[in-house]
Amino acid sequence: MAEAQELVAFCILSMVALPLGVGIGFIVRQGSASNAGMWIAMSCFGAVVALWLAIIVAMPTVFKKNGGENEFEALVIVGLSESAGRSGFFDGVLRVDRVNIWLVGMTSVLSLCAAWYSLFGEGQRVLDYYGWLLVLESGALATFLAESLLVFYVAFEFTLVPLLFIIGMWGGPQRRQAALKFMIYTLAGSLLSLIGIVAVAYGFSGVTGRALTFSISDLLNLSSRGTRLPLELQYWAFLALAVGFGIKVPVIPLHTWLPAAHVEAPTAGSVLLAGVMLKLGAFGLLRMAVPLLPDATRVVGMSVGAVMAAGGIVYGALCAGAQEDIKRLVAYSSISHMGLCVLGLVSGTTLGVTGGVMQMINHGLITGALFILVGCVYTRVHKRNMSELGGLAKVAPRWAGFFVFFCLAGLGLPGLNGFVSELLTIYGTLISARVQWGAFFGLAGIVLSAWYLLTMVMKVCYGETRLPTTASVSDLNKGEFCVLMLLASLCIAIGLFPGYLIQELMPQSRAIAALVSGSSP
Amino acid sequence: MELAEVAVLGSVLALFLTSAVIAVFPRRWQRWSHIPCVLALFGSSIASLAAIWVGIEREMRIPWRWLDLPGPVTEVVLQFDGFTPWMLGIVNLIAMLVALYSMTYMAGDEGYRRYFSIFTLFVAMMSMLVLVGNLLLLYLFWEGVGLCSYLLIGHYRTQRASTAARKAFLVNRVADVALLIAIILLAWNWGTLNIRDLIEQVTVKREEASATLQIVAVLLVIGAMGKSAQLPFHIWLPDAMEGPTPVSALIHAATMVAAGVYLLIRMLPVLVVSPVALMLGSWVGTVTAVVAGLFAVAEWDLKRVLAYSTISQLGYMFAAVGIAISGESNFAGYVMIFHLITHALFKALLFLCSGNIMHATGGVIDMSRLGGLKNQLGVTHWLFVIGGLSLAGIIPFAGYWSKDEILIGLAKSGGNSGGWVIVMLLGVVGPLLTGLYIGRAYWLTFQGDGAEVPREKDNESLWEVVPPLVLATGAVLAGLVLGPGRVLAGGLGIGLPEEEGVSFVPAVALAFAALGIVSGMMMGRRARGGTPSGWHAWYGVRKAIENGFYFDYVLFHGLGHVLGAMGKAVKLIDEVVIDGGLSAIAAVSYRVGNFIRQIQIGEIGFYAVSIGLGILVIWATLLLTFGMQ
Repeated sequence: MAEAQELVAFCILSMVALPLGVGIGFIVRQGSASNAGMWIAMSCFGAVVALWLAIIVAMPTVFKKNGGENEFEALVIVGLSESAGRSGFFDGVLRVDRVNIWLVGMTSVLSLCAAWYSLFGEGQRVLDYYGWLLVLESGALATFLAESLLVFYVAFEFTLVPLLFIIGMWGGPQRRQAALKFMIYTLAGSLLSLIGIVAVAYGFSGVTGRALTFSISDLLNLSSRGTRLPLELQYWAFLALAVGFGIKVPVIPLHTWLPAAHVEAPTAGSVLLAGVMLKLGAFGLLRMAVPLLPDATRVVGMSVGAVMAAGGIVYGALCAGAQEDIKRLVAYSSISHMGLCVLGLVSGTTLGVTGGVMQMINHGLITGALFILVGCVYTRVHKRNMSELGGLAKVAPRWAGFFVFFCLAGLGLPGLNGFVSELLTIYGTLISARVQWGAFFGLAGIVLSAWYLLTMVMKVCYGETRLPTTASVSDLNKGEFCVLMLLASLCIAIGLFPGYLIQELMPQSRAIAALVSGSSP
Repeated sequence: MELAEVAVLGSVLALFLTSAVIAVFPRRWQRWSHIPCVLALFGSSIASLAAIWVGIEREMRIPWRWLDLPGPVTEVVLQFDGFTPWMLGIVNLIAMLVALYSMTYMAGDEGYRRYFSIFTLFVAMMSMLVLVGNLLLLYLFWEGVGLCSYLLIGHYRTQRASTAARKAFLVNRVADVALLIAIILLAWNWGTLNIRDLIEQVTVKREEASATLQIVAVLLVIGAMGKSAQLPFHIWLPDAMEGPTPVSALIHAATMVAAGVYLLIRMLPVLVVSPVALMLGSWVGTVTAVVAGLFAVAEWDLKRVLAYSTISQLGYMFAAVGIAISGESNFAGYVMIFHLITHALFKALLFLCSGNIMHATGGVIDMSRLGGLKNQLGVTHWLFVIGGLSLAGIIPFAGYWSKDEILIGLAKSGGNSGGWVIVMLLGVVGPLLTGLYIGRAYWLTFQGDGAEVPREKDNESLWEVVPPLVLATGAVLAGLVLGPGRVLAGGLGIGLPEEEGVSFVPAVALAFAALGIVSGMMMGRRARGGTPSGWHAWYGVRKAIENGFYFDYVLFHGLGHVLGAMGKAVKLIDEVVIDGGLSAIAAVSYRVGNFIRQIQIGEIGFYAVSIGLGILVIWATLLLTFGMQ
């Protein structure tokens, strides 16, 4: 038992430390990459996935015994329940539980895929590029695994730096503006969330009369045992947190950085931006805003928040339908899908919250794959406009097969992963007390997503090709094929066997739902 | 577990496996792709025929859950009841014949492997849809069937094919949303999605026929309307002709549109609780049967005529749910599946005939360019005649017997539903229109001189004749054997109500069908002359009918344009108002900063003076505020 915990703690620490160390090393060293360098980078990405798998294997043994600390300052606790009499500024650094481990898994897999694709698809062979990708992965993992609010904030903020470099150095022609916009937007958001975080921590210390603690576990425990901040403070703190995280998600109307950043980012950047960065915001809502400020969630989140989320579903979908550039289309579809995710998170039902978390994972896999597919086209023909493509099913059947597949997953075909989270979220919303109307926006999203995704498939894959006859288009190479195959099999696996994942996510969702819908002051 | 059950389940699993195997066939084996498909379908046909013979009736609960929702029982349940083996039998049998036919029809196609892989998957999905006894799983395969039809309609990958495929998927999706809501509502309110448990709960606790249940029933009917192409969701089916012709035969006869009717049959005991839903289904079916018949009369594309004919015949099956209003849900189910079976036989036959025609003319299917094919395609000609007579409901062909049962049933329950209008429409106008369009299509295609018909090849090859011949045998005999022979009712285990004398309704229908065929052939003959005489005065009406009453324009293109326009508007707002507003804020702060920057001129003297002035101002302010008191 103790060994298992130590093992998990070690794995978690190395998951964050290894990519960070290697990444910084790469960045310092610079220069074009030798084969050895590439091998090191790839094995580093692979090692993180392996560590995650090790944790997954060890998890059942760890969680049989409820919680407990260990000497590595990593904290392994179960759900919302366990934490005993610690206090201090940095109570623990990292925590792993049944929810964030899956987001960690998605991050590690997507990072591997993004790097793999960059190496074998786009042929990017610059050492510091992979360095920044590794640093980004480390930052994202630290955010998901954070135990202290301050660690969360620092890691959340820190992910900006590598992404900024990735967009600013390897992006498209407008990369400077896009990077600047992205930075200012998210920096403003993060400052707001810092205010919110500090307000929450001080608020709880004031209410309980105990020493100041930034430990998420402690705060969650306090909240689940009925400690509530004064309503006034809750509202303001919720507003600060929600706007801060909402920019990252993004919730309309705070989203305009997203299309610009996506269009300019290199493919790996887009994959991680959509797959991982957006989830950081949603994760902030899940971890902090909703369970720590339940009354505010009930009042503000279920009204204003739900309106913005549900509106975002339709808004993003309509915008996606009007796009000509397929990368922008996928970017806007992210807004639509993340709207559904936020709607589930604030619905206050077990199913809704579970669906929201599932949506984070599924959206990451599907959109990541779609960005890779768009990247495959762009590296070959340097075109992304639907009116300039067309007929790709004839020239690149494998590519088209994957493209259709991931579009189907995105539009929620039963049997693939997108459907699971859509069904759970819509179900949860429909049976919720206050946001029932939101379900109809979710259903509208189901129809609209089919509309814009299949229209894209029609224009890009079918018909006669509009590419210049001189363009020779090759089908997917082996590297790209492997990456997409991996993502596709994950989509199928989650789509056909979602039971285990749902069971794992359900307890915490139930606790959060009980907090939000439960006793009001 | 009995042998027949094992055989059925094994054969369905084998279908899935076969599909996967064909998908990964090496490219050089491409031209052998049909072999696993045909073999697997042969096996599954035998298995389902055996199941019919043995007559399995049981429920199998498999200890695996697809989606683990907390309230509802979502375990996998396979439900063999009276209907299951019959449905499986007709699906697999027709699929096998169509697969055999496809061997020659699709020969040389670059997507031969892809075609057979999806084809097999299609049948497998449909078989599972028939087998599962859990609505959530049914939804999985329901959408799976939709996916396969999407892929097959778009098989040729042309612009038109992909547009049609997308349309099929989208129209179905809208109706599927209704089904999804119904499923969620059922799970939420009744805590289970097992069809049998639901029926038990609903029939035992009759008083719980709450408003929710009424809504659910209506939503189920709407969901079925989408898949079964009933008005106003019918718009996807005629366009689906862009797919290869055997695919049309499959979609129209066995795998796709039958799913909606089958859902209704399965859920009839629940629907019985809601007369509103039954009335809705019955009326939608009736109107569809008539209106689609009308569209078929004005259509020039032979395959589209057949498509409208399918819509119309499905309308008959939908109308039959009205029989259940008087509580005879078993009888309603019986007539629905009876007509479904006979229709599957003769419609698949007619489509395979049109496939032969397309092969002979090099793809020309426009009836204004056809004619005189009876000499060139002798066998096809007679097969088409059999199919056409069966479709029109001429005694003793299959269509007569099943349509006859629907009409008798509706006439009996007419008093309850107030549906004598329905009976009149289906018994008089329907057969007349059916006769008209099929007679006209027959004449335009096979009679006349046909000098201008492009000739690709004469005569049919062996595998272009054998599958339709089998189907034709079915179209001749199935009605007699299954209906008056009481084989189907016996197989389903349904005691039919006593015949109370001879109903005159079938006789009237028969007369009008005959009248329709004769006038239709005359119509075709006159149309051949090039003057659409008699239509002139009705030009507007004719245009409206030819355009399908503008359903397509308004519902699909219209909505598409509205959506597109909304998208453009939202995009504009996004770029100009939201993003532009933020850019404006950024620009303003930049300008202000730039302006203020000009003060920093770098002269120490200027700074010193500024500091001095600043101190003076502060001092004066302090003096004014505090010193004056």
